[in-house]
Amino acid sequence: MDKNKKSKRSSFEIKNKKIKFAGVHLIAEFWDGEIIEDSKKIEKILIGAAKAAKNTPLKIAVHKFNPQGITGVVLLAESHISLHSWPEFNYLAVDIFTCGENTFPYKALGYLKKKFKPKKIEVKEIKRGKSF
Amino acid sequence: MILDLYNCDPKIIRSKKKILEYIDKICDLIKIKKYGKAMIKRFGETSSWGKGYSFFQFITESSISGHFLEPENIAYLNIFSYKPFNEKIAVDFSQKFFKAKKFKKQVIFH
Repeated sequence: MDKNKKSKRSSFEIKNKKIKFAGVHLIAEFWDGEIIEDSKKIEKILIGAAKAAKNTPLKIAVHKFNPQGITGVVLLAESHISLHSWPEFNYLAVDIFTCGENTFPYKALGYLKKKFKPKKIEVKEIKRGKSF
Repeated sequence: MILDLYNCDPKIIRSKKKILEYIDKICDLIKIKKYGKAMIKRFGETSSWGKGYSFFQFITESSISGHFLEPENIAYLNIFSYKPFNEKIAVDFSQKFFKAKKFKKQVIFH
């Protein structure tokens, strides 16, 4: 990633039928999937998820907890994707927040499902910045 | 907790210093512990729309993040903590800090 690259954030409003909103926030829970504790692999997965959603990755950070658990985030020109794992519960919390018309958060979710292969998933979709 | 703040003070959401101050204060106030420094980036400098700051702060209890859309003066804040916190305190403080005239919050329990 070019740190000095000036990136344009995606356009503000998406029109979905008659509702205007800034972006889609997916909050997903993965249960009983593959446990990935390797920081490099998590970085690669975050970048892959961003690309799957047609997002522009800008900055990435991954932190491994002791003795287990990992947190990672990729800041995007279109918001962020983050992962928080609790291997002791075989649980992964996934956060995908993307703004703009030309981003595809469900593609990122699909990519993450392929990587982590959870047996159980719960997803909540929130439209952010809905007009009053 | 997901908090969208509308009609924020334009000066505050355009100030990196104030955003970093917010991160410090909200963490202290709701008793969550910062882990490392905040990641903060600015986007869209050459654009007449869509520019603003984004931040991400690791906390020992998970993370907080925020995205600020300057042309619309909107702040999108996310507090994700496995440790319970007083959401009313967090909302009141955030609204006052950014001087938002309207807000919308959602609390999701995992």
